[in-house]
Formats: sequence, C-alpha cells, structure tokens
Amino acid sequence: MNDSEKRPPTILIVEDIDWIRAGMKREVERQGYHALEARDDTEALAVAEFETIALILTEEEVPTFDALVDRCRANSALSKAPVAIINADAEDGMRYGEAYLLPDYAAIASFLDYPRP
Amino acid sequence: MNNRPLNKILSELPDSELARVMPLLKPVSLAAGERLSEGDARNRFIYFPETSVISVFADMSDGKTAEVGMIGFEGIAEVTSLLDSRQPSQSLNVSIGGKALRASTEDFARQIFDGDGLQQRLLEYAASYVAHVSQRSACAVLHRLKQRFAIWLLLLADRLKGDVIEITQEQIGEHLGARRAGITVLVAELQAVGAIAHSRGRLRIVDRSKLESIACECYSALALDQQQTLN
Repeated sequence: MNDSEKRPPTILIVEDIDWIRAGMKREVERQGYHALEARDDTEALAVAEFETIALILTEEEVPTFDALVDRCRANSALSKAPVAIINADAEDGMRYGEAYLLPDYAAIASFLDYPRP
Repeated sequence: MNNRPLNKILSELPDSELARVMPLLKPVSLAAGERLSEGDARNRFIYFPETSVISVFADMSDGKTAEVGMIGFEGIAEVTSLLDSRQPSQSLNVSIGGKALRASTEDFARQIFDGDGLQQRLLEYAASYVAHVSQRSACAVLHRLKQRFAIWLLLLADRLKGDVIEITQEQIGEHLGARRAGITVLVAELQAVGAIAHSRGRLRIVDRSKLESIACECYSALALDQQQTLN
C-alpha cells in the first residue's frame, strides 16, 4: 500500500473568520479529506513547513488574499498546490486571479490525484 | 371592479377609491437586480409589487450594504417617501423580478387624504412596515447569520407564494451584509440537514418547518400572516 492510499490528501483552509473557517473544515472533512486551518498567509506558510498540502482552499474576501497567493507561489512547499475558492455562482473554468473557482466541495476531487473518498 | 390588482393594499380598496387611483398607476415589469432609486436621490416613484419583491437597503460609505426591509404584494416600496417626499429614501433594489404597478410619488401622495379607505390602508401598512424594519434591525444585532438567513428565505418565500427562489449566493450575501464564503457554508449546512436544496442561481425550500425551527423568534413577528392579524 503506498502513501496516497493510506492517508487522504491534506487541504489547507485559509480563512480569517472563525465560524466560516470551521464550516469550510466541516465540508472538506465531509468529502473525506484531511483539513488543516490557517487564519492568514503567515500561518499558512508555517503550517506548510510540516505538512504536505495538496490544495489551498480560501476565499477572495480574506484580507490577505493577494499576499497569500503571492507567497504560496513563491514558497517551494506550496508552489505546486492549487489555490481554490468555492463559488456556487461561478461558471465552469472561471478563475479569480490565480485561484480556481469550484462550484462545490465535491469539485475539489478534480484537482487531486487521489481516488474520491 | 374586474381585474383587481394583485397588490393587497390596492385590491382591498373600495371600488370607488380603486377607480380613482388606478389611472395614476402604470404596470411595469421589474428585473431582478434592477436598482429603483439611489439613497441620495429623491424618490420619484412608488411601487406596488404584484409578483415582484423589492428590498430596501441601507448603504454604508465604504460600499457595504445590508437589507433592512422587504416588500412584496403586501406593501408599497416604499411608504415613507409617500408620507414625506423630502425625506431621502434608502436604496430600493429588485430582489425577485416580476410585475408591479408604479405611480409618481407626488401624484399619488395628493390622493391620500381624498378617501378614507386609502388613508386607512396606508396608515395600517406604514405601521406594519415600521414594525417590520424595527424587528429586522433588532434581529441583525442580536441573532446569528444562520438564523437571519433562515428568516430571510422564509420572508422571500412568503412573498413569492412559492418555494423556489431564483438568486445567487453573492446576492444573498449582499442582502444579509455577509461574505459570500459564509453564505456558501450556510447553504451547505442547511442542505445537509435537508432544509433546502441549491443548484446554481436557484434555491428551493425543501422542508419549511425545518427552516422555521432554525430561524429565530423574529419570524413569528415578521411573518405576513402575523402582520395581517395585527391589522
């Protein structure tokens, strides 16, 4: 059994408002993924030092959104992890700057090389 | 009078008074998202929604907005401009597109004191509108977004007389003064408990009683049947 079969991918949730972050974590876990949390870009980079992050899930109204995207792209541990935003109103393939817009939490699977839990 | 308007205030007028005001009213079709007035401009028209729903927004200087009132077939958008046309109106936005009857505020205001029925109906409605806005204000301060979201859905459904609401999550966020990401979380939560179903731009109330149990006590004061009982 290889590593990816043993443990679901880790999604790093970056959100400054506690109750929204808790809700995002609950939805990510409901999809069967492992979720880690950060309040801003600095916390996100600190978490990434110790964990392999498959995808960064955030939202465009996080005050440090631009810094988060820039710092993730420049960070060797995070540069390959896509940044995604859940946006139920977005059309297929739409992006917000560097971030991919996903219609729902189930769409996270399309970004991961991992069998759908 | 045949073909009475669907708007409750107009439809409940005595025939003679309805015949007097009908020439002032023009049927209009309102599109969802249409802005009917600006907060800093004098309101030139009043609207009697029939199948449309109009929201009253308070606008902040930083561009943030929040809905403070909702007006459907039961009311007038908005009644304070009729009582004092010098008063700058708040912003009126069409939440749900549909039909309405529109009149010049100035022309309609002249008719208010010419008939007992119209005067009485307007005063009753003004009282219930003030009660609605007051309750929504207290609710916004005291209650959680999840409860306010549930109430807001119920208020809309009451005015649509249906369970399907054509609205995006971004629009919901604007109405409730909340981030879209927060609305996404709440929609997922209400969907998981079976209260609503959501697909892009369309939300359906699946279990009304479940939604009522999530809403705070304010819904019992804000529900249209309660306002009608008071009147």
